[in-house]
Amino acid sequence: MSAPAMSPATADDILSARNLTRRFGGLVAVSDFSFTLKRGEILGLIGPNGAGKSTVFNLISGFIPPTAGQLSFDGTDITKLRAPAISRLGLVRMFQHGSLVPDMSVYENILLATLVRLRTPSTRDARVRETAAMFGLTPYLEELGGNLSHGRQRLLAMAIATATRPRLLCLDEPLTGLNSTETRDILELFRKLRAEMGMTVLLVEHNMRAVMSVCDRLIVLHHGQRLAEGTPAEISRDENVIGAYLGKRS
Amino acid sequence: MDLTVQLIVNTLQIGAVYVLFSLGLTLIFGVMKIVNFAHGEFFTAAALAMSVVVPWFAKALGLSAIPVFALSFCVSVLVVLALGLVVYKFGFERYLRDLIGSFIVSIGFVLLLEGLYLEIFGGAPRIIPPLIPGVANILGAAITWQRLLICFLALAITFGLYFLVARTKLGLALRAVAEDQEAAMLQGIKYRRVALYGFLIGCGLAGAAGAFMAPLAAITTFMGADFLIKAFIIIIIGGLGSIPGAILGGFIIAAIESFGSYYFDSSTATIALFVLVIVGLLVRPQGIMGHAER
Amino acid sequence: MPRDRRIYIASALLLCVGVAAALIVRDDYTVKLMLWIATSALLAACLRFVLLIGELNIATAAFYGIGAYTAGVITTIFNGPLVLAMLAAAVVAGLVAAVFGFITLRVKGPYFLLISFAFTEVVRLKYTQSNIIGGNSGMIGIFPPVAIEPYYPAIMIAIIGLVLIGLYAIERSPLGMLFKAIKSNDQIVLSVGISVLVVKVICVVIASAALGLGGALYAHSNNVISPGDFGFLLSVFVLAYVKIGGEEHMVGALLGAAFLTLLGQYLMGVGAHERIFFGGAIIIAMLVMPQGLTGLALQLGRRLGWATPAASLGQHK
Repeated sequence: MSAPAMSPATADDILSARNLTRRFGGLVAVSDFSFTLKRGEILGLIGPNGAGKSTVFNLISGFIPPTAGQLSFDGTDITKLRAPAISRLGLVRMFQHGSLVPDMSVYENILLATLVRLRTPSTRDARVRETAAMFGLTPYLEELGGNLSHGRQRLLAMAIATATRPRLLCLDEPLTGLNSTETRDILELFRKLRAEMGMTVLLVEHNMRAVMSVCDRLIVLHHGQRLAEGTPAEISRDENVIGAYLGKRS
Repeated sequence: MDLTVQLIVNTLQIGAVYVLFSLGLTLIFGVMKIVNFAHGEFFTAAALAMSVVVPWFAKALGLSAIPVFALSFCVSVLVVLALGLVVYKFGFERYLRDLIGSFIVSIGFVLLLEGLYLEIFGGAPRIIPPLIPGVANILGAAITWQRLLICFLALAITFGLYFLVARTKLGLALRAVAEDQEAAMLQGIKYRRVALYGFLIGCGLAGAAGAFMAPLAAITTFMGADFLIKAFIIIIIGGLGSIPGAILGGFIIAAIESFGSYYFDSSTATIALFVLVIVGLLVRPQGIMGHAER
Repeated sequence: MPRDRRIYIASALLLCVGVAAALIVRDDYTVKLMLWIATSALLAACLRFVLLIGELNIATAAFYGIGAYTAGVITTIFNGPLVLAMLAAAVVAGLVAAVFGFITLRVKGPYFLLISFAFTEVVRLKYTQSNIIGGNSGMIGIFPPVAIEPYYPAIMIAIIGLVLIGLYAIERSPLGMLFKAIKSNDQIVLSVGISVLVVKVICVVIASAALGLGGALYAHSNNVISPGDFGFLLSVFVLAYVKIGGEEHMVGALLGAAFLTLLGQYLMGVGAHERIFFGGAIIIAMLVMPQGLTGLALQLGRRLGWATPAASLGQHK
């Protein structure tokens, strides 16, 4: 069942990275990392802190340029594109920290995401309200983003990214700070987004139980390289992974 | 040939003072992440202090020129340090790492201090007697002995600062804070104290530059302002916060200025400097020695 | 929305009063004073406009000067019509700002601030070198057409008032929301597909075009312009208007401009004292009332238990 390590790009692949490498000075954050994301799947990228997950996010979303390697998104070479252009193509990411504007209202925060995509005030308004409802933020539309509880701030961050109606949604630790009910709701929402909008989701998350339950496939990153790849069941049995990562946690 | 040597000698001699002045500015930027527009006022303060203290010491103590200047230099730098402490405590302390807030505060001090200088010292240029008379001859280029001596002293201070930053514990703290303030604080470096020391060292450098310029130029209450614009250009070209960059930038600007004003005129040279900055920003935004910020 | 409508209605009324006053008042000095306040208000609003994206534009003075010189050249050297001069002033200032902004805003850090400072001084130097525009002594004889001269102050106040209302409308539009978002968190703006650089450049261009137009108006009301009018010190004074008035709301900047312009007139002729006064005022303002006079007033109002307009200022609907 597990995807081969370097499958050739097919029409099913929405994102493919080849030999992605990023150095910071002498430090190699991501090294020769190749992977593909299939249309409509929920892929989990896991690994210990400092494994290079955030760098991978920054690379595929165009926030930092790769030192070497290629990226293609839905048939377009995005290796040299910058963040806004990649976002407009439909690859949208949220950030681990501060993925919202604290001194603007929830309404305005979500409205930001609609500005380049929708032309008329009424369609924008409709999109904002619809998205807010999805994430249970309707009662807080007039609230300042920075005044929300931590959990709701995560929801807002996801709502902003989702309001762009991305084809690929990249979420950096969306579940931190959420209680178990909220977590369950959000996981349900991921499945719904995929089913109803055909969204593909790339997920970086530390909550192992959630990752195992929602992801179709996992890639374990260690020291900027792929350590293992497979279904959640396969990963949880993988000796290397248990040694490097899962073992340490329990 | 003689002309080229002369222009090179001029470059070194102007450049040495530019370097001192810009080093202070870049150091303060590195440590406090503020742009101190009042930097020129410290320069002016030292020059004005020299204009008062030198004649006074000469008369009161009856010493020869060299000790009088040495003593006056120390007093002037101390005056500047005291002024720096006041400016820090009543202004910058609350606006550390706040670019716009600190700028506004520094502009407030520029206006206040320039006004006060004018009030106290008047508008007329002041002149102090030369440190040592006579003209030296280097490979056919003429330079007064006092310019040569001052150039030498300025370079000595530059090396001293380089040593301080590269080798001492305080230097390590300054570098750590400039690199990553939060990480430095996590390692137990007291940021506010380091910022104060960095600021005072920066002020001291501006003061030293001002004291050195005192016997070389007419002392006015606004002489620091001219230096300030050039110093900005120097530290942008060298890379904001970079010490080697400020040194290199200082000499580059001095070269363009002394060659440019000889072959064209001084305003053209200033405009050329500006064009250089713009081109530099397009080609290499982080400056010669700077790191890119992302 | 009702709040915004109230503001628009109030400013339209104020504008009518200003225009009427400029037509009725016969005292030259009073009219001049009104024009000074109007131009100071425009300068303050434009400086604050760029502050919305978190950048301090010292070249406020430079773009104002570019507008003034462009208009002066068109009406005195080419005998062009005033309308053309005003349009050209706005366009030229806007274009220069586009290039300037594109170069300086690409890089994070204080480059915009530092280079806007150097740019202002260099432009000033360039004027002094150019004999065709009068070099050091500047240009003289910049008059509006004789036919409209009696109404010129009223026209000027009307145009400035409309520009101010326009700037406010932009601030309240989605574009203005983007400015605010960029100042607070530019990453999120990038992540939803908007080029931060483009939005920043647009902001600077709008402010500069308004400044250019303001410069053209100023040139024709003052009749004389010289390089010294457009040094960085002008920007510094404008900054004081904004800071002392309070930058949170545009009204603060306008009040600060009016207050300090009047005070400046009162203090005229004290020479060095003016600097000491302005310098001291800025420092005290920064230490005691970082939100400016309007912030202080709001705080006071809150303490006295009045409504808290500050809380609703940031709301969108």
